[in-house]
Amino acid sequence: MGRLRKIKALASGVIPWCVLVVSWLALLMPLQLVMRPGAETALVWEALADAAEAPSKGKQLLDELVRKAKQEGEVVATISSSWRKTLIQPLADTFRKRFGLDIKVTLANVESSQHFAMAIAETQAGAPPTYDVVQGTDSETMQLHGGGGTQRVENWEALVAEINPLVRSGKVRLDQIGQGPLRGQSFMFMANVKQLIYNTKLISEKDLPRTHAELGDPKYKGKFSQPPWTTHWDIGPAAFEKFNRNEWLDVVRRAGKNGGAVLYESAGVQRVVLGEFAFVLAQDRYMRQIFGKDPKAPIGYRFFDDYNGLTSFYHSVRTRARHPSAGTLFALWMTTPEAQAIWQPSDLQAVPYGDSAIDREFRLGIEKSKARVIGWLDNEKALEVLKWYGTDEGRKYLEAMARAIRGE
Amino acid sequence: MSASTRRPGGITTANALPLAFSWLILAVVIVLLAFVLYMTFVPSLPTEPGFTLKHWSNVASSRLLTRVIPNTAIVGFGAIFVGAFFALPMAWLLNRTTLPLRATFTTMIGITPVIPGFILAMGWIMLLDERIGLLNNVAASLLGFSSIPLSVKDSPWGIAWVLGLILAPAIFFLVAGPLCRIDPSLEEAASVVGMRHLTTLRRVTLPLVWPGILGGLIYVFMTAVSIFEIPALLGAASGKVPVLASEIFYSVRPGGPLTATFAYGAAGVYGTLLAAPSLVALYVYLRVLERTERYQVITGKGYRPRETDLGGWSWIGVGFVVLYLALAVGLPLLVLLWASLMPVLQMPSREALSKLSFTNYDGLFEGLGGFGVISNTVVLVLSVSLFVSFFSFMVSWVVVRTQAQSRKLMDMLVMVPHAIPSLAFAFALAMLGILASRWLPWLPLSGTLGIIAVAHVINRMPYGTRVMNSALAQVHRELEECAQVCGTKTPTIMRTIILPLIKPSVIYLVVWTAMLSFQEVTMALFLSGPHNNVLSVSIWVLWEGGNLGTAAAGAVAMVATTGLLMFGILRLAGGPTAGLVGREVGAAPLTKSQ
Repeated sequence: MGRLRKIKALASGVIPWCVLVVSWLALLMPLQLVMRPGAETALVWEALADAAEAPSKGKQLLDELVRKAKQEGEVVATISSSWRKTLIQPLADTFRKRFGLDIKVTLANVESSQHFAMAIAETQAGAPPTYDVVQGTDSETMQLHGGGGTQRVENWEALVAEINPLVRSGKVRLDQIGQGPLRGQSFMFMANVKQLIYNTKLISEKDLPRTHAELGDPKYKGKFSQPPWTTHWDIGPAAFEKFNRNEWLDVVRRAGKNGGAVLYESAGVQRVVLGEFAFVLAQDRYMRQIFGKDPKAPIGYRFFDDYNGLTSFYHSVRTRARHPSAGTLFALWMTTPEAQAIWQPSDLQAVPYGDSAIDREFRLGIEKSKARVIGWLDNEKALEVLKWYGTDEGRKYLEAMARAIRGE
Repeated sequence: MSASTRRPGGITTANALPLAFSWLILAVVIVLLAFVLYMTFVPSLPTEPGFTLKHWSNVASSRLLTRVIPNTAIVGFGAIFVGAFFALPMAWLLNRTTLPLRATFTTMIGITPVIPGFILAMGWIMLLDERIGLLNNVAASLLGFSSIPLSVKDSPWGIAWVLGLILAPAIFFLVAGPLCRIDPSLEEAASVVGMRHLTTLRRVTLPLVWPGILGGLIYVFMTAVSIFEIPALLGAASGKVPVLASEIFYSVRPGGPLTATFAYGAAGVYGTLLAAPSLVALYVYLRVLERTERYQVITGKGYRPRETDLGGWSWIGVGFVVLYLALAVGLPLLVLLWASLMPVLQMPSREALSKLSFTNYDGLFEGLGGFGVISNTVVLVLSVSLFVSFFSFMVSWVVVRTQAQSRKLMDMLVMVPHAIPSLAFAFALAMLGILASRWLPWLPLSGTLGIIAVAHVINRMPYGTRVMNSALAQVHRELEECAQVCGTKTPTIMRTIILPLIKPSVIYLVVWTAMLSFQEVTMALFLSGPHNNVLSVSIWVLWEGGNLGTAAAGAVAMVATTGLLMFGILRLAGGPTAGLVGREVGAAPLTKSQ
């Protein structure tokens, strides 16, 4: 009977519980703590504090950053050249209000492609940067990063989680804001995807080219415009399994010779609306902008079947920035829905991880059309291609591509 | 004949001041020029060490000889032809005849340069294009054709046509001043010996204003071959009509993953190639100016230009001027106005008319940058026009009124900035600004209005000195010699005798420089920072950002502002609107001296 009672006691789990708890404590407890008087009490308090520390660490870091930003007294940042100047005041006011700052906020519309070259020159010369924070595309930011022009934000994960409610709530992952080599250096806040925009009165959707190679088809002779920059073509090597550089250059050249004009995307879209060209290689935001102004405008869009480049935009704090803390706050705050709610209604570019109607439409459009969208930081292959473009051989290739776009 | 002006090669006390100021401004030109040339020999950014000749070898190609240079030549000479075709008759009609509405016409010609070139080019595409051109469609429907294969696009002649229309006012203003001040006794003498009006015009008047004409033609050639935006819109960007200016631009900004990498070495090489023909033209001009006394048409004996009564022909003259204004101002302005009233730019149609609205004008002031941008623009425009006038007068004084050994060199050097593309100069300045912020942090250069002002002053000096050379060449030395005999010092002579006599030219220069600074975008954009934005940059940013409607509204506001500004300046200058060409303003001081 006695043996039976022992077995029942074991079956009730009392004895194994004790064994487990003791062995668990023995395993976790550092020896010096066990030996110290009152160590058990301290352990309990630390365990309790640990549970609450995750959010407070971010809060502490943020408070410290805000304190330093107040001392700096100013921040000078670039915003997209396509953003209206009327956005500057509300952006500055909301930014100040969010962090309780009473500092001077200067925001300037700057064309990133032009400024980044200057920024690299500033870095190489060892001069202080003109702007504390700069915004630019992924490829531009990679070059600035490579040239030592960006400053890493320490503890960025905790800071982003503290500042951006979407990250804090777990709706957005950290790697959606900072990815690849730019992780912790630059923070993504918007994106656009390349596509064909066409005049519905001049060409039907079914008659549009399906692939980039079809742009060289004689039936499209003089019917389209494309921008002088290589962004519609240079990501091609990352998009195909089998790829021959010279053949791709021929494809670009045939398209260049076949095109009607080489124009900035905005000008090209306007001339498509005017009816001068049937279609243009552009980006999704122009569709929204045109329809926003004239819902009856005779235009439509289509993605290519082979690939469609995704351009992401990042904010980076500059090396030797005069106001690095205020700059960091601004760069991180620009990832938030609060900032997005100010600039997005007029600029109409999407935030890939955002939750607005535009963001949902952006994702849905790609999903429904099953478009193959590819960005520079999406995978190792794309990143390798981007790095190769930084070599002498890659530069020459891109120069040849830029000439090929103009039909040379 | 004073020792201070006639001693060969001598630097007298009287000339010391103009010489010092001249060399001050020329020193900046030399430094920037050296920097541009230096860029052609360094492998990458000018801040990095190394030596290379690859920029020179890279640009040498058969394409350069067979396409780029011939296209550039057609654009340059074609623009001269078109510009002179309109400007020379207009200069005579509006300054030496009794043509009605002269003041209004002159003011309208003065407004032309304020309209951004890319807007005019857009306007001409809408007017003359095989597919969408309004003129083509009208002509096709009248003639019963399906289309008229005539276009300003993809042809160097089309580019030359648009550039010629845009640059005609430059020739007009350079010739108008001298035309106003021609000694009438020479023409009267021609009349006495029985010369007809046309013969007098050809054999007396034209040779007398020849320096002004030549200066204008050279200016137009140099400008036409170095402008990028218009050839780009009309065919250079598509690679169909490559010109040297577009080659520079694309070597500087190739696009894509390379956008953050400058290729300014190549830009410097192309800039040097562009400078070569311009320097040859400049040599010819200086040869003409050497015989400067032949063109001295203002003497102490008094003058009052004679006006030809056109009689019944005056309406043909009016028609000619109206035709030019319609082509260069009216039609493009209508396009601009149309674009500003359309939510999305469309060709005129009944459907489009129903969409007209003032939406693009809502919040325009804030949209352009508000008070900060406006005040920056005013400060820039005023300072540039004053500095250009001052330094141009100083350089021209040395070149035209002294025998300083360095005067020919000075005249060459001061013209060089016009031959080098403004983008290359802006880059050199930007690099110097960066270096200054590193090594001389107390020097406020990078990101300030000052750096844009320096770029503008350097860039406008060639034009300023052409105006001043031409004006000073016509003032006979006997006037200042009289003053010198009376013991008057050179600065007083400049202020009390010469400046009043050349006041019309000074007014031209101030107004013209102010307008060009007002609309200049390439350098201001390149040198812009967070605190030195100006109106033209704001409009360009709107345009480039795809906000054409707002940009057009801004441009309309810009044109309207300039028109009002010009009337205001002329009234302040003490003359009627016709004073722009100096008829009244120029005559007054001389009357006192008579």
